[in-house]
Amino acid sequence: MILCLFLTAVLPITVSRLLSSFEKGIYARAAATPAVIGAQGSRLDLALQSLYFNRKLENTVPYSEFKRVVAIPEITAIPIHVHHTARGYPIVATNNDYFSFRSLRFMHGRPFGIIGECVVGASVAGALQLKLGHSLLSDRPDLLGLAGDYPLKMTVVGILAGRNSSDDGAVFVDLKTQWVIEGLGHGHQDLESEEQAENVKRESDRIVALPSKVVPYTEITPENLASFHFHGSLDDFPISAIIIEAQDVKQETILEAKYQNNQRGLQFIRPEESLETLLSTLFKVKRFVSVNTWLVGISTAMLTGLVMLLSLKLRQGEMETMFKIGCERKAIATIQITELGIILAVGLGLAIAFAILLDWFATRGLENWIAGQ
Amino acid sequence: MIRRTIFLVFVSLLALPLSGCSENQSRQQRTNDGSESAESKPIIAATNLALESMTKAIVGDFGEVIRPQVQPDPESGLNMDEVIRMQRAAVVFTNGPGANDAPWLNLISLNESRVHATTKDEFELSDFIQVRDFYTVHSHGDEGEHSHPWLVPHCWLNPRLAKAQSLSLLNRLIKSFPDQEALFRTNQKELIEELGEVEALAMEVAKLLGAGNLTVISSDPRLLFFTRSLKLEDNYFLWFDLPEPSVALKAIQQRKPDKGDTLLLWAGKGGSLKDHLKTSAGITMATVNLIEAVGDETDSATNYISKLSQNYQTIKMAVEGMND
Repeated sequence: MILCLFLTAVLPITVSRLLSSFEKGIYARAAATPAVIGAQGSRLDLALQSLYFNRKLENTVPYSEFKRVVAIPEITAIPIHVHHTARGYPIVATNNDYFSFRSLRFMHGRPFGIIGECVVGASVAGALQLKLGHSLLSDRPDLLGLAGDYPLKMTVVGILAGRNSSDDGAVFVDLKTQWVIEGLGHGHQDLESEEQAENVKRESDRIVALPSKVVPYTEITPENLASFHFHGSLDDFPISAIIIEAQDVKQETILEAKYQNNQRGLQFIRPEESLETLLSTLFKVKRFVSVNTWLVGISTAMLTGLVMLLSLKLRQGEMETMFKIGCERKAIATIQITELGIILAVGLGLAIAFAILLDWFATRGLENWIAGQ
Repeated sequence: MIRRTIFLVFVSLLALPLSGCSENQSRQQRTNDGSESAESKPIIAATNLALESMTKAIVGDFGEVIRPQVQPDPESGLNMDEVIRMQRAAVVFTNGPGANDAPWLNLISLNESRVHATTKDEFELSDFIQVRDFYTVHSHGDEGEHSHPWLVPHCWLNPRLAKAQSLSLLNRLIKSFPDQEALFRTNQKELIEELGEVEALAMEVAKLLGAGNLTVISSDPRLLFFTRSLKLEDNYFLWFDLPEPSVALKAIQQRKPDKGDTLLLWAGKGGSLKDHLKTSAGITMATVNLIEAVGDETDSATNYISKLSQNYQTIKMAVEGMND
């Protein structure tokens, strides 16, 4: 009987609870990201990338657009650029305002200070066994690419405390570090220096680097930092999105109006609204489960009632005996109600406990699954 | 008695969570790394001595003005403590792209919203100085050899432009700390008066130079903002890579007129070339402080305005000496 009640209750309770937790979680992150400016295209992709860093957007926004927005006093703007990965984890290029914007706490270390430094999320640090001072190589986007972009060897200077969000699984760098990874900026080695003597071959009129001494990655060190520079204007460099937080709705609306039907190929979105598209499918499932829960509940109640009636009929002789030996009818009814109460309480209690346990383990996984879609 | 004890325990338990709402908490501020730190004076960073000095004059005791000694060269490297302090600054004042005094800012993670270019809004396009006869020629990657004209960053050598920069500083400071507007305006007014006095001195020296019919040659283009403040034509003969003394001497001789006196303005510290020219060129020489840092040049002035004033006094004394 208990097992029957448990099995009947566990599915609707678990699904309902999981969906509620997920809804709360996903909306909390979306609600904490009031607006996003990005290139025109899929609004959902833009929202998912700025929230979960999982999409590579086809079109980008010039950095000058961020400078234009950040100059508005009533607006807080944070750039986001996600284009590469490091050991499979997304490299999120931003600035240090991002950490305070998301209320992220540093478990170890500090924010990135110069180009070539990175801050890793708790999951990344745990999975890759990273500690402060360790190095992390960016992944090559195309192993067969003839241009052969060299990966950047980054130094871990900060590890974030876990927040059970997509920030845990990201590698944060400064925008300029990302632009170095993309090949928009680079440094030079002084091949004539004494330190390079072992790595070069001097020919009559030139100095040639020995192939065996050429490292297959770029590293920014105190020795070569000064030689790093960017080609072209930083204003033209790409970013994926700009997270916007306005002081009030009026400012947000004024900014939104500026991006409506603009000729610069940009769009202004509210992630919460964009996620509705994704979540509406999920909530159709929730509605179905809700209806199903009622139907199953009614049938279970009827079945339980039937079983109880049959049980009472079967135990009628037992009850008569109890009455004859002096037990009051009221006491007999109390015993039967208590028995029923215990069965209901244990069955439903087990179902609720199971749902809570599953929710605790599964919420993160479900959010990741959504992020991965 | 028991009831009273229970009541006291109950009240104490209720008061426990409220104990966190102390005055200390309200005094805490959030830093950009998401951590909480005890409140102190707001940090304001400046990338050159002139901006540091003018900012100090405007904010008074309200804020702590820092000037990180960041030079990303292999020898001194980047001082990470200074970089982190600068990241925590409420505002970072710099010249701006037309007179870039801190190219190393590109190597540091700074939030764009806190960086304020002081030359951007207050300068006319004609105020910037582009050295067209010198290009930074270099070659890298697929672009091949290419060049960029050099823009002189030393705009602080001109008091008129310093006044414009002080206005830019004032506007940004008011935007960041609106409740201090009255203090900032009063202090900036005094600063403008001081710079006005230096500007008047510059006019006086310009008149002296004009009256003396002197030819003024400056050592290199870093002095262009200074010489233009004296209404002088651009006339320099060196670049940063010092030539052989004979080559430098020849360059001076070519610029020297047949008649009249010549005054050579030397940028910054001297050296063997300066000493050589002083004895062999037969011209009067005056050293102009580039006001790039404190203590790296031998002078008695201690702050930006006194250093700026001393530059004009040096020229004035040299011209008066020549007239005698």
